[in-house]
Amino acid sequence: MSLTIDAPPPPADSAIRRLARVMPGIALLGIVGYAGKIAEQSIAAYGRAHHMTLPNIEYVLWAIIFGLIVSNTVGVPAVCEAGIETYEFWLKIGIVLLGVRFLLGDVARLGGVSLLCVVVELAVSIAVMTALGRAFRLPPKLTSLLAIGASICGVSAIIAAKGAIEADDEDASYAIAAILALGAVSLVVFPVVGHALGMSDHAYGLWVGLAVDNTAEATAAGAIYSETAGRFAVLAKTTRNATIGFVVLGYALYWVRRGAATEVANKASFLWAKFPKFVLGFVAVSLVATLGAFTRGEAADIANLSRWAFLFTFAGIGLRTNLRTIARQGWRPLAVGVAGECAIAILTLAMIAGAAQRFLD
Amino acid sequence: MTLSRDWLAVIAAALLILLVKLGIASGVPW
Repeated sequence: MSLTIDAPPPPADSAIRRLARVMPGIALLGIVGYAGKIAEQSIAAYGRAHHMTLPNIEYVLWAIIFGLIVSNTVGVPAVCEAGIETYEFWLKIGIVLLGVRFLLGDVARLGGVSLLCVVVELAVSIAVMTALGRAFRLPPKLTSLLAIGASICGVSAIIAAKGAIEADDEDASYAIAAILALGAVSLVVFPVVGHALGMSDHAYGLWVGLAVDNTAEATAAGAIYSETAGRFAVLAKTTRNATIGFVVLGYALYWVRRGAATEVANKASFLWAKFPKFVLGFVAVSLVATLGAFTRGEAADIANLSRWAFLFTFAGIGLRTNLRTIARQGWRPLAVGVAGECAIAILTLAMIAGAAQRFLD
Repeated sequence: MTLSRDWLAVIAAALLILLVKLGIASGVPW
């Protein structure tokens, strides 16, 4: 019997080459993020030295601002672009590691509260976005993408849905640009509203986790408020992300019925394929921590590693936001987005106000 | 089969936790 292996061996340096390609961008993420951290510390030190009470602006906001300045003035060097796209990878590592700060009981309890709010939020945001899309005469598939982006989790949901409902590239990039523009606005608006209403860290975190679409921006909008708010934002957002498969499947089936998408052969494997696996990692780390596997010191180390991972993410938010590209997208999808998001933000705020008294504090 | 970025992130996080557990990455500053 002869054994032939006809698949050509992969080039030995492919992994190294890939690493080399992303390294410059990762370095830039680190530099911009760390500059944000230095800015926060320097301002605090200056205030202490001069006995002044300066507003504590979290490094999160500085990292995003520095990133925005680089990307919208000198521009991100082409050699760094591939590495900057890894910002979502760092986000996921940060979320998995953050599991150490949650007891599984809290995850179940708050996840349950979030899930209840998510179900209502999903129904309302899909209805609002669909109605607005029709009113503004957007193409129907673009409306679907905007509704999915606004109801679940921004960019990754749009990308997951794009394939499933066979939407155009142009519609997808339109929807992504609108969601990202709104994410940038929410970084400013949510903390201001939260402070104006005197919201608790828990309630505020849950609110941004439910209302801000993209996971990176939701995490940042929470962390700008306070560290606890950031943790709760991640928990609420992660719950919302876990529903991505169901909503995308629903839309896929809708477009199949209208004869504008291919049949979904196996619904269970479709759901599994679309499920964000890092959510499992987050729950697993929380389970291990709940079982008492980590000493106090180890848990603190893991939580600090999570902070470093988020630092790279926040730098990436600023670095990949190009205000000119957003301006070029036209006003109609943006108008639909703004109107829809305002409705969703107000609705979720009302839900949190109701839930806060019962479950949070 | 290629691993998705989600799984890669989970594996990377697991490795970091292992480093902490083994005492190689202890006293991580912030």
